[in-house]
Amino acid sequence: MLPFSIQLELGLPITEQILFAVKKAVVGGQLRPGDKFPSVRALSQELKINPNTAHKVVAALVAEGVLVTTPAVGSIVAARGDGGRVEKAELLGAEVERLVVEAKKLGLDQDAVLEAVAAHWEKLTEKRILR
Amino acid sequence: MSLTWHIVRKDITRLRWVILLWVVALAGEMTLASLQATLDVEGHTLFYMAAWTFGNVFIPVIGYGLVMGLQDDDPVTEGDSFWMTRPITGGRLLSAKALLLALLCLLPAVISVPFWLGHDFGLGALRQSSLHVLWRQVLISLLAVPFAVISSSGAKFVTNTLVGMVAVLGLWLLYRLVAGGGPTPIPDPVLVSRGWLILAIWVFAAGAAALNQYYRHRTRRSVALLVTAAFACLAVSLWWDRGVPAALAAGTARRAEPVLIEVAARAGAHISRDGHTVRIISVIPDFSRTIVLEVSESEPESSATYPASLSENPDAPHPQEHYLLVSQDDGRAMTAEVTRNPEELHADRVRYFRSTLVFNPYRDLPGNVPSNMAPWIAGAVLVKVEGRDAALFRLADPPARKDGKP
Amino acid sequence: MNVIETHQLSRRYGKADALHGLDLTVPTGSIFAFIGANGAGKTTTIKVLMNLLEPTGGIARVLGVDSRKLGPRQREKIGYVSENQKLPDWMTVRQLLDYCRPFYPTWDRDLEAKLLKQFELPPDRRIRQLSRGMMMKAALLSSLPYRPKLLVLDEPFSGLDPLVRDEFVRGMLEVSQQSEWTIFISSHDINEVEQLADRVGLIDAGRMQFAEPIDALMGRFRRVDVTLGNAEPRLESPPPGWLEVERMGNHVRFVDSQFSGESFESYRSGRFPDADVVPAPMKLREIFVTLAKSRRVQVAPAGA
Repeated sequence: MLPFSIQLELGLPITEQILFAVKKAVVGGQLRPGDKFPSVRALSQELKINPNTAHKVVAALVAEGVLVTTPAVGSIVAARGDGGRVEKAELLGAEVERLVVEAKKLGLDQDAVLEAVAAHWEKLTEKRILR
Repeated sequence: MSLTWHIVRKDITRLRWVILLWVVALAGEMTLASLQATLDVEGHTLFYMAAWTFGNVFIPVIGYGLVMGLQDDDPVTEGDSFWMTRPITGGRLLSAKALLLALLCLLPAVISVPFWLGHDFGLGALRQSSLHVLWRQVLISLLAVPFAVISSSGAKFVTNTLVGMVAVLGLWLLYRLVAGGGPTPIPDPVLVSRGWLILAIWVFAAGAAALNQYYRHRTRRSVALLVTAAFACLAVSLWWDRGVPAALAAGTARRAEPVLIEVAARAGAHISRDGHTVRIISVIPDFSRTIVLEVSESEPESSATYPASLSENPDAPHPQEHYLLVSQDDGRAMTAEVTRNPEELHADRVRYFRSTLVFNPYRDLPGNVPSNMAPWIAGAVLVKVEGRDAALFRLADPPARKDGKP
Repeated sequence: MNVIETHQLSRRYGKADALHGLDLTVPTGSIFAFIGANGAGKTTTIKVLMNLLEPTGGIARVLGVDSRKLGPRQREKIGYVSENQKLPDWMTVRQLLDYCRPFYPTWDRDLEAKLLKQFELPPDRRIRQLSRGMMMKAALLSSLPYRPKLLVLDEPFSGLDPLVRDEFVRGMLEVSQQSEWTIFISSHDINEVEQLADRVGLIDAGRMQFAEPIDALMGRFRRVDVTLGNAEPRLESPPPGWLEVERMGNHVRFVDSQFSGESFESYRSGRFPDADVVPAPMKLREIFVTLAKSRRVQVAPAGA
């Protein structure tokens, strides 16, 4: 069990997938500042990846300031300002790109896409499926 | 060394039931032989046949299989054997297997010791009999080892053995074809030296094959080596015509006139003649073999000292009617004849015995022993001579009673 | 230091070459996935590395030592699990461990106990009574407690259900001490190794086709899907890295084995004007199948 959601997909670089998932969890509130981050060993075991890869991931997260290493406890989630809208939006990058590609294939223009997005947003909020 | 012992213990654990079976069989053989010696069971041919089968079929087969049992947990042919990927060298494995094999070869002698002691064997007789009994399992192992080291499994071992048997048959036929029935009989020294040479070839081949397999796992080379050795044995059988060097031949100094003594084949019996007393100490209960005779210059002691197994009625007709004439010539080869005719025992056919002599009638008799003789001939002669080193001993019966006490 | 190194390794069977001039390098600390079709030479390579077979040409070095001279000192640091190797099946699990333990000076009894529990193996059950999955776990269990520097696995997952595979991998990772150990794993189960491996090598007909970091490999392979517009595509003399170029109607697709941002841009506009050209990453398994199907030679990375 890990404190953040992740579904590793084959075909995509593992390091990137994990970085993405961790950042998403931090931004989305699943990982809060001060939370203990799993050790390299735990990461490796849970995700069934090479410990070296897990090590690289943690190092990258620390380098990017997402995690902070403390001598006693290990790695913990860094305290930072609420992620900017731009940064959060960046995390959506892949999904947005997919949406745009699909829309283009169907011959929709930008306005149509935005309309569809707004409509779905309302529906899901109303039905309280998402917070 | 302790790692080697660790491997030995593993194999003992694995083979413990087979080893137990073997121990039981060995003890059974000895018990049967004891029974045979103390009971008068002539006429119970089945009993004798069972005992014979035990000693000459059942036990050798188990002994043969045991050698493969040692090997098949750790095959030494090419492949993915478990031990090969562990920190175990071929040398260590070989040491462990050889050690256990040696222990198993000693086992028959160890089992027999209580029986022998129970029949008053002295140290010399113990030593002789032990060597004799050891020999059986050593020979069997010698036969089994080459097949075991080239086989990757027990099943392959059986197949290879069968192939080997066919091959031996083939070689023998070849031998007969080439040698034919030559007019001149082969002198015994030549036969003996051929025997030893063949043995040496086979020991060398078995050892070399084992080393090759344990260290290099090159089965094809080992097989080639064994096939070459087999042909070398054939060649020796056909063409080796040197006798044993004089130095190796048993010294057969003729120091005195031979003495003819007849003795009943029964523990406690003795005969005195011409100042020589022959006394049977015991009938040795290992079925294949030996009756201890002691010869001394003195008068026999009172019958009270003889083993209680002495038949109560010495005058009861003894079923044996045959005489076993054993002779030895200068070349140390022994011949034995069986005859029903006491007239055939002439002094000039007498030769000499060494002072201590062991022979096994199954091994040493020529091929023409009538089959109904076989059980009786199971009593071979271990002779200990005090003060004299030349005598002919004949195991006989009722005629002896004419001359003295049975 | 390279834990495994081969130079022009060859192994002949009669007239055929099972291995031919094989050059392979496995750096310390990596998890190396050794993939290839059946009969390509994976098992032969592993057997040579473990000195179960001798090379007929070239040389292999394992832990710095010629494979032909592998002795107890190296084997104390090597763990080996193979679908081909038979364990002494008359032993119980406990007996197996008791038998192996004295041969390894670095055997850790606590780790042994921990792994035994983790694998949920019944210690007093005989190995021949174990299911296949449990047997492979037992084999692995007898190869881990001494913390081998090199773990060689030959088709460890074959015949194992997904749960056992999971347990198997966890067991392996349990022992890891990061850069101090190396895993060399050959497997048909490419999905299973994709997540674990950081290096991949492909062997085909006895030769190495490539060996590179998995990120690099996955980075240079793309399956490209093209939806044509009104202009005709230019498919003549395709670049050497293109495989399985196919077209049906307005749909073209191919595999680009030397994908890079720049080259993609150039052929996207150069060869497919007025078309939607969508590159997608490929799973390792797909890459393998594509390569296996294609007999085209140029599959090594450009400039390699």
